[in-house]
Amino acid sequence: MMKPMIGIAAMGMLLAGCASPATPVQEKVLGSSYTSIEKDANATTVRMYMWGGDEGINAYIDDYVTPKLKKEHQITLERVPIETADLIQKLRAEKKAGKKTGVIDVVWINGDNFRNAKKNGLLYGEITKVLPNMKYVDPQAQGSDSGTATDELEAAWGKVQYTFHYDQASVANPPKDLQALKSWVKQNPGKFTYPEVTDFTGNAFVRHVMYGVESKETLKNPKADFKKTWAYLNELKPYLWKEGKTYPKTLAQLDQLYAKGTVSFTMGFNERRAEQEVKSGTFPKETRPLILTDGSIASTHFLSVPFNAPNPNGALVTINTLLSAEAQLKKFDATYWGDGTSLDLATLSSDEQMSFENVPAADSTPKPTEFKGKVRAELDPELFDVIRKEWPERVAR
Amino acid sequence: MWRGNAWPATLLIAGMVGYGLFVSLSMTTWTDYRQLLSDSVFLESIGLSLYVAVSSTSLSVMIGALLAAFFAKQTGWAAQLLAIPLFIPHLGAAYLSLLYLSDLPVIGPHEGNHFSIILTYLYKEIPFVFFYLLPVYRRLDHRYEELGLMLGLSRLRRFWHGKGVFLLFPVLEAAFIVFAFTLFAYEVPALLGVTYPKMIGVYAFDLYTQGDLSSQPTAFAISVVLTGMLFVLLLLFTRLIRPLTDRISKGRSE
Repeated sequence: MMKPMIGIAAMGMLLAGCASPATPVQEKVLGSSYTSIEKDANATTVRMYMWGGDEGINAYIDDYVTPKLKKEHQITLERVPIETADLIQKLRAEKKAGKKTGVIDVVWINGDNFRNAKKNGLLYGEITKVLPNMKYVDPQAQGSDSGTATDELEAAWGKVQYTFHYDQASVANPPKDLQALKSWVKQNPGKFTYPEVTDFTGNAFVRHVMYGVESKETLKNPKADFKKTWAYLNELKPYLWKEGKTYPKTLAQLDQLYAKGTVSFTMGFNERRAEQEVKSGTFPKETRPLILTDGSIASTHFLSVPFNAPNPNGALVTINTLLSAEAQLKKFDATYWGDGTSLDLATLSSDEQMSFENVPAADSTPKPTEFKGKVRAELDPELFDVIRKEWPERVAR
Repeated sequence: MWRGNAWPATLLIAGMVGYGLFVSLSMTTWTDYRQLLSDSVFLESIGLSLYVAVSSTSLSVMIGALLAAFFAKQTGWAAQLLAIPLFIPHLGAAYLSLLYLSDLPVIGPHEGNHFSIILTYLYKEIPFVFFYLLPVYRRLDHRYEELGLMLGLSRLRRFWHGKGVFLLFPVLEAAFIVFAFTLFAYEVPALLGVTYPKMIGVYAFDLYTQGDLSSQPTAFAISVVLTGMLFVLLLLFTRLIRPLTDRISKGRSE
């Protein structure tokens, strides 16, 4: 009945547990060689908790990764779908209760959730030090997670660009920048919207508006008044879907509106994400990509291990496998997911580089040259909170 | 009426609510409550939730009671059809609304009037009220009303002494359960509500999970305030209305 109360009740179950600063198990696992980790991981079960809102991503894990781990390490991988924010709550409650052995081995996180996990000490330790495949990972992607230093607590799994997608059948002349987008929205009332800012993708839409309309100095100061951003969004509002009286609660809801043809645009991190949606017939056939000249924020997503993982050896082997060139190529390929690789292609063999270059790109995927001069770094994580606090009062109200 | 031992359940529920309250109170300070009560986003949210909860409760109790009065005299199986919505969880009912109401004007989901949420609650709560009151109606003794007729009471007073006295408390019980549920529920408003203002359950959950978790004390404060409101209502029921109906039905006073 009341989700908040569930959290409270969960905490209620925990009662007074004492914090455990000493972590001998962690030291033992992270201090051993990868060969011995691999040996200990053999024929174990690994539970991977991850956001489950995308069929392609789920299929990549279930149909490709799970059999691969079974074959190579006799590891049984269990994928558990969960909202990442709920997962952090769960770990926080377990930490508070002093629960030393949890149920989660691998987590998929980034941004806010990583910042919260790091701040509350919810992660296992410097896991990337022991993973052999880290030598292929792009150091730039690995260095920072939306402005928070990763400190080897998580390993970069994929790297994507924020991309708009539109239906060419209903948008003949796609807007080139935010100002043109505004004119288009005004001329086509009801055909555009964005997810509300509690959603990861909706929050990022507002950050793109910030990049487009605010000065560099303002962007550096989270305490500033972002009145140009709110003004822009308020100008859009009366012409949005449902006259801006409500917004899709999640990206999944926006995608449904786009699939039904109610709106002509959708958006999201990952330039290739429309490929399998078009192939499966969910998105319109003539879905095309759009990179606004105001910029596209680059985002990296990561894999990590919780502080109380029951099977840390299995978790590390799973992560290392996911960072192999072979698994990354399959992830890049649009068959399942179509997610940008976190590897630095220059570190791979020429054969492997070739196979990455040979992956065909559908019409819904932008050519690499389209990003030239448009790639933007993620903004200060404090701005995420500013947007969540201010947008409901200054725009949605 | 069921006369089983209610103590184990009472202890369990009281323990959970009590500990929840204890945790919530320990997470909050006076400042959180002061800020909350002057926060216009919260006030709009609670206003909206009261509107939805009061409308859903009064409509479902009225319709449910009328249906129970009607079917109390029937013996057929038709009333069993009303059990169907009971098997569908609220989440499922909300999806049914999304599926069947989406293209309709006025009562569609995501409208500021929140009719779709109220309709979803009616679909779920009318059967609940119906099955809650049906045995009460069946137990009513029609001889009281006949007696009233013999004594020459007016229609209204005949109804009150023959039925009203016996119905009042069960009706209020059903209403309280529906009201408490719809006031702070999450799933239905999360799926069918609008972005702003959010219903209080959704607003509290967002505050609890989002960002750097610095808004969690506010979320705890909201749950304390709501629990407090419901406690006050419960006290009013048990202290004022129950003794009144007891007294009247035992015939100790007018």
